[in-house]
Amino acid sequence: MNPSIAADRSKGGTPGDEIVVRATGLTKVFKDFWGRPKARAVDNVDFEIRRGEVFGLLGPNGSGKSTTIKLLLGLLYPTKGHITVFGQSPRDVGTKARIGYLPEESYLYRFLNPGETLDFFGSLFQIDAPERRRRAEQLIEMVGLNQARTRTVGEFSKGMQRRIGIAQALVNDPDLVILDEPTAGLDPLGCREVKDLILALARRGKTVILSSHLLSDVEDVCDRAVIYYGGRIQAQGPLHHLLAKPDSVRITAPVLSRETTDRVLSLIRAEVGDTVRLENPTQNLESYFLGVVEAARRQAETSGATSGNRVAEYLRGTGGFDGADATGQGESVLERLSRPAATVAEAAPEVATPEAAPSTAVLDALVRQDPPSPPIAAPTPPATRGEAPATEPPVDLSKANDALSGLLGGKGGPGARK
Amino acid sequence: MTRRFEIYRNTDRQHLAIPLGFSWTAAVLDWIWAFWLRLPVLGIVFLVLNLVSGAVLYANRAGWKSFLVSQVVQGIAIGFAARRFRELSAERRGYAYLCTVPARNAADAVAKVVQVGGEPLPGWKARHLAGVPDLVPRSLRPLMAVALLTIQAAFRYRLVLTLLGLLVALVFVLPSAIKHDGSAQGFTQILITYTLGAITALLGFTTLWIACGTLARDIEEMQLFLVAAKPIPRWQVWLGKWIGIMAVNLGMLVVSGSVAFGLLQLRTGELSPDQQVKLRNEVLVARDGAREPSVDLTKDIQALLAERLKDPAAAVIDPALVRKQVEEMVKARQQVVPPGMLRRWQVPLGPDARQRLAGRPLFVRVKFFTTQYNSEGTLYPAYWEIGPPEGRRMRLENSLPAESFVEFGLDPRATAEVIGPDGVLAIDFQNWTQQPLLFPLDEGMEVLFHEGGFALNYLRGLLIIAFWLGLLAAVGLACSSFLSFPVASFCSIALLVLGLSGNTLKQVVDQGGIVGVSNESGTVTESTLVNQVSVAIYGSAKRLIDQVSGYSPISNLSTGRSITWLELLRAFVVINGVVGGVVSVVGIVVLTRRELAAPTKF
Repeated sequence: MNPSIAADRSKGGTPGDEIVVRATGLTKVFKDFWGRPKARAVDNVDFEIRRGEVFGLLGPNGSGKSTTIKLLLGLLYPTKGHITVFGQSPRDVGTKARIGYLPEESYLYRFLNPGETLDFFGSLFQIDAPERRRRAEQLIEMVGLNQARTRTVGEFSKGMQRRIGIAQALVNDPDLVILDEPTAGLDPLGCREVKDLILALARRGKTVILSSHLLSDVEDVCDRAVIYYGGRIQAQGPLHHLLAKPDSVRITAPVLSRETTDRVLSLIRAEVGDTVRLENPTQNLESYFLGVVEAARRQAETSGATSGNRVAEYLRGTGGFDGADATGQGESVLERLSRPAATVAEAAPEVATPEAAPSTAVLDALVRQDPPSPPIAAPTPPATRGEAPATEPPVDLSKANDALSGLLGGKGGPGARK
Repeated sequence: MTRRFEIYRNTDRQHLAIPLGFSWTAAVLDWIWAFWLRLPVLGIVFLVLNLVSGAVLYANRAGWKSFLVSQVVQGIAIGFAARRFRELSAERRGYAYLCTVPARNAADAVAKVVQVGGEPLPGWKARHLAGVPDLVPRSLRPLMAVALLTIQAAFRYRLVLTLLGLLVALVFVLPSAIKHDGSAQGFTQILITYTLGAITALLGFTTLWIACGTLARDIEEMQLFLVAAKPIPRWQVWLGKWIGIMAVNLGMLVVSGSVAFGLLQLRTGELSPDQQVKLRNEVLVARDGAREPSVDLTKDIQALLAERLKDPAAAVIDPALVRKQVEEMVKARQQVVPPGMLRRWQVPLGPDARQRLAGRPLFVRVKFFTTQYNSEGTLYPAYWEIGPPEGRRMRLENSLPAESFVEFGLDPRATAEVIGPDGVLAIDFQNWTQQPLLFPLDEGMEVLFHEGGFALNYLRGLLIIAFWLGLLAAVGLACSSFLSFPVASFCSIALLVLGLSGNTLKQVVDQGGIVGVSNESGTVTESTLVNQVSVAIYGSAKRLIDQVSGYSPISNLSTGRSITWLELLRAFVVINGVVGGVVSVVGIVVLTRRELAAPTKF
């Protein structure tokens, strides 16, 4: 997981010692009508997931990710091995009360509207009627389906169905959230909201299992991951261990003058030879897109899904996100995107603009052979929690709009990309 | 006076105010109010409620006070539920909840919201969510949620409306298309037998189809996959579906049954006055039946058998065959009335029968067989003397057909006199024909007497039909617990057809198999494995079907026979408790053990 996310997570819940899911020698063989083995979907898999972890299941199609999820939901039974959830069999009805599950596709009743859908699933958790209605109201608002609350799920687009699917997975305020391809069919804004929601849940000590083909999703939010292939686990461990490249470093700085750049390069080459690469960092498209959409959102309404609003109150717990309500520190992108424009600008895309070159004194300080400098922070991820440092100046969204106009062949504004 | 109004807004930014609390308009105008709010289904339900309560009270001669009380109770319930209905109406028209505003009236509430530019003030946001509290226990909430979901599906997929239309059309069209012959029997045949039969058939097939569809399709389309990931035991999913189907069925049955009942009452005027009297006395009534207590023939059989076995000639004959012949002989003595001879039946009607049945008509229902060839339409003269042997007796002569049930009534004015002080009705029959007549012990003679009103009997009849539908729903759900929708539908309909072909089952069991049946003896020539297996299967199916096929409410209603509460309970226990229970347990166990996420194999 990205260090900034790790830092953010450290403010709230951190993976604890309590084991939520334990799989030992887990094997699932699908058989035909006559009992002959047809496919070995999961083969002798061992893993443990601890409380508060965001755990990723990665792998190509048919590698066994979804089968593993179905096994831990008690919808399939292991051929060999054991799996426990909260120390119980996955088939135990009481255990399921602590689980929220979003399947890979929308398996919702097409004739119900969002409110009825959430009321139905709330009833399955034995929630009282007034509380069900309260949660349904908050969840519908959270997933941005306020404008579509009178339409039935059958009329929804795939992305809207995904949103109501996410809402139903959270209706019971679960301790373990299992999300199978949660961002499939969602627009970039929705993807970012979902990732943000995952982090918000993890901060509250919830355990999240995320299965996804989208490696960036897993990379952005997961503490640990397993990589499946052919039903077997090929690799597993903390993401920062799996992804770390200890034999190289990256330095990010404002635009430097030619002279300074040459001096830096010559210094580095003197130590490592010609294996140095110099390039202008590009802005992440997701961040850029989100900024443009947010600007447009403030000018027009849509009858489809809107940007989700604040995380449902009951999901925040009594104290909010570790005091987030009071300080704003734990506030998510999801929440900030729904706030009035001045605050939203913090999450708006940064359009590259030349800045004044630093003085040579800065360079001197940089290349000085002083005691070892503190570890270099990794680059900010595209879908981090969006918590810009307090000192970071707000970004002017009009620049992003101008840049998009330029890209689309319109009039290029002063900030248009050259 | 300030009230609280829920403000709804649509995408055109139009506002709507719904008052919280009791609605007098809804309470007074019920169905008119529902139609006005564009809630046609609700309007129909209210209208039918009015019609049913009116019809039931009218049929029981309850008077206007009872009707008024029922209307007040209904009005109070609707008045309290009105707000939720109005919310539904608003949501259906594309409005979404905005806020709750204190105001003097609806216009004032909307004006307040418009005044602040449609952006609710902070104090207006809180929604009054009290609503109707959950009446079901917490642990059964998932069960009721599945039941409600099944009902919602039936409404949303227009099944209820379509079926309701078909049923009502059937009830109206069938009696109009088939003209009766002007007799009470013909009138009854069409308005009860055909109409209720058609309703039962239509609802029966629909029940099987819905039951197979609601579970099998949920499994195939993976909705159940998501439901099973929630904390609901699978038996509650299964039972919830069953309850939902039965709720829809009961609704359909009540509506179509009420319309059929209303038509029956209204069209009575088409008959001539004497046929109307006959209809009132023999059909639109609940009549109980009494038979002569069965006589223990064992002693007579033993005595005669011992006498026969003393004969040296009997020593060479198979003792079992001798015993069978003796049994037939003893039974024949009880059943056969030789020419010119008399047979007396002593039928107990209850100790208080004299007082209870005074002024009520009594009916004698007989069935006999001739020992010679009986051509169709032949009538046999009969002479009857009815009443206490030592007292005043009623004498009558008539001509009756053989091999079918025949009913003739006794003058109601004489009822009190012909019944003995001990409540026993003595019936003497003299055979005036030239041949012996055989009255079967089980159905040869029965006396029918007034037991209650038709409306309640009709209701009990409908309940037995509902029990049948419950069994069909269980069969459909059990099949779809492990089969795909088309296969489950096919299997359950095949089971239904098998159930209806009871004679075929009996024939196979009687002839001892299905292969190598002799044309002469009508039985199989050798006992092969195929024959043994087929007899075992057909025999089991027949025993199962015999358990439930004894309850035929339509036949009872069309002959004015009473369906007692005890019979109703027995029918429920046998149809739904025993047979339905076994089917349900099989279905639930299969569903519980099934891997729902595994691909359907067939």
